[in-house]
Amino acid sequence: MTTGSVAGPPPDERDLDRKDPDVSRPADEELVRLQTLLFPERDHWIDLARRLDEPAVRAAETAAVLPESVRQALTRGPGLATTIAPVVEDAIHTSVRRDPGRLVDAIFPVMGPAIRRSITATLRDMIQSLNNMLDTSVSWRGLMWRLEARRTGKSFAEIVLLHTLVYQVQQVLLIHRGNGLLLQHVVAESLSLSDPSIVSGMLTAIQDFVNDSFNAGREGTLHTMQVGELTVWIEPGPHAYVAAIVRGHAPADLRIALQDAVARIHGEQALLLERFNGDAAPFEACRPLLEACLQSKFSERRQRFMSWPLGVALVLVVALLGTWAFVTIRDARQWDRFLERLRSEPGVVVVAAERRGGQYVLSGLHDPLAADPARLQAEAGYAPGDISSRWEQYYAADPAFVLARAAALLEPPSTTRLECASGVLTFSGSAPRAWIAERIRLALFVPGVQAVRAEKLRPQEVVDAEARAATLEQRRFLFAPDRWTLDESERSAIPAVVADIRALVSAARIAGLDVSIEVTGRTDDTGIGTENARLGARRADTVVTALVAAGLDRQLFSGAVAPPVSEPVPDSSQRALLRSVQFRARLTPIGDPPGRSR
Amino acid sequence: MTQAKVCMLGAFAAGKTSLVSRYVRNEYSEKYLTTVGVRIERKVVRSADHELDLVLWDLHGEDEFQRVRHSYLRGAAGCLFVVDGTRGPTLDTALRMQAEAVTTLGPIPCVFAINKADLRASWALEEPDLDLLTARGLSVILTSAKTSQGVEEAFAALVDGIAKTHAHG
Repeated sequence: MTTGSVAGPPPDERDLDRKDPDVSRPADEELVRLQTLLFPERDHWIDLARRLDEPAVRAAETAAVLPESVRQALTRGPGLATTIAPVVEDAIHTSVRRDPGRLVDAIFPVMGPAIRRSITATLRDMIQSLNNMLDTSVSWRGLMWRLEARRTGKSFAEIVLLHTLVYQVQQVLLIHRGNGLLLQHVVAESLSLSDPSIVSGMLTAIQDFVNDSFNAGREGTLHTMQVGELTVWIEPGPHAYVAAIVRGHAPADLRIALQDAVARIHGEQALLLERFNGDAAPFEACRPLLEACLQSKFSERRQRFMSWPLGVALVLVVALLGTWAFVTIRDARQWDRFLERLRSEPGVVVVAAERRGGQYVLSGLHDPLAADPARLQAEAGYAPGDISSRWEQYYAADPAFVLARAAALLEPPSTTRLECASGVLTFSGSAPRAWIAERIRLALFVPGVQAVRAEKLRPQEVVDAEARAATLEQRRFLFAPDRWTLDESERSAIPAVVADIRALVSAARIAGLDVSIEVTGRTDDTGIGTENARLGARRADTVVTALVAAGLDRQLFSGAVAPPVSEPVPDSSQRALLRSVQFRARLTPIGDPPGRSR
Repeated sequence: MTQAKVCMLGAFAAGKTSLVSRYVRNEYSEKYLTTVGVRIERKVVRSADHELDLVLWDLHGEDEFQRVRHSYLRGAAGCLFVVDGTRGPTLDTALRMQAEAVTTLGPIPCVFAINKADLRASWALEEPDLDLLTARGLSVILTSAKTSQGVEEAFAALVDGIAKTHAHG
């Protein structure tokens, strides 16, 4: 530009120029001439001033050079695009607000192909993932991966990813170089990693340590770190660096992507990076740049060992075989359990059990008193048609069955007890004489009974007579001291005693027994022995006389005097009980001498 | 949320890692594990006035053989100096490190945690020593990672100082 090397015109020059159209006077003409002499480029200056002062002229001139300026700016870097991007965005927004139709018309030619391409890509991905799924599901490799997923506790998708992955940028961090604080970070989908703030701090600490250790200075930077299967790629910038955590072997292109991200972030956020004070919110705008670095590549799908229909068929065959084996084993176990149950059942003998023509066939012996085999079959889960069975009746020698059969045949009264051991049927308790005479001999006809023992079985009639005798022997008449007459209250018991004796005589007669009743008169421990013996005899006589007077046969009674009480009785109530008359009944078979009793 | 880098500094075995463990995870262990290099921990502190994402650089302790690298201090918004109350020389170490930190970082919030307050009976430090710190205008808080005494207060004082710095910055 000439303005740099030539001094500008005096300020009043333009004023003179503006007055130019009005110049009419000779003095002015002289002045112009003088100016022309002094400044030979006067007209050029006047023209320059006019071009600068008039916006229309300036706009026209700028329009002439603008395309070339833009072209040159674009060749120098992305600065112009970044600068005018907000203007273009605003312009598009304004245009859409004003008339959406125009923009739709404008982009219509590209919308169709874009949508088609998107749908094609989505379908291709879907088919690819379906292929992968089928491939890995039915193949041996897929089974191994499923086992590995179960063993390691990872998801199947994660295991597939690990095995098919060539490389994947799992996480990209933007870290401030000055203090190691995290400015922004992005993570690949479905990955959970440790706290990025701590990771960024540790990365910075490691960087600092390495730099200090090797005296590398601020310019020396650790570019790569290997941690197990992970590699950390670091790309530094003046104020911040980008760290990409990569699984697998990434291509060198990734470095270029990281360099590009660092350069663009520094270009766009230079001031914020320089003045960073801990607030990372403004760096949210850097996410798209970092996300562009989340690259990944998976291995090409290998040729399948077998076609998937064949694989499916194989799986079906294996499934059918498995089902058949399962059903067979389950049925065999069910049959074994049923046979075991039958064999453990008393009164059931399994002679033959087999499977013939798809049906179970069973034959054996069955006691009528044993559990019903049809019921046992139903309990074991078999329908009536599942088993063809033939049972022959037999009598089991099991004591429980022998007893049941004996009870059914002999119908013993409730007072009779039956026991069976080693084929010997034993009776005890009591039973009517007629039953004993008729049924005991029948016992030998009961299947399973080899001998009968009935010594402990007593006639019921004798037992009844003995019970009456025992009732009478509970009776007792009491007397006052030194008295042998019954007072009123004792006398009132006479009718009850008479009834007891008559019942006893009647029962004894049914049992074929004679009755004699010994009446014993007692005294207390006081008094003289001979006197007491006389008093006891009188008391017994008083009672017998009263009973005879009430209608009983005197022949039934015999008197007796109790021996004197040897030990003194201190208690007056016990002493009162001593002054008494009691009975003792003797039962003897009719015709036996009276001395023999029951 | 604003982030702030905080450096834990002090002599070896002063209890820096124990204080961080107590503060971040409310844990304490009698077992002594020396810190090699640096451990990074993180805690988000919320209060009515501010919300701060603290990134704690738990640096290895200093002794006669090993000095803390100044590069670790770079960009720190505040420092917590840990002194072992039962060992007098740890105070000198902390004071020297504080002077170095101020030289490296400029005037930043600093808090002195006089640790192992649960062993007060066997302390080597005395009141005049602590008064000396207070006289220098330093925040001094007695702490015990074992009993939690003063731990929250020490970090709260540092967070407060950092928040004020940010407000003025």
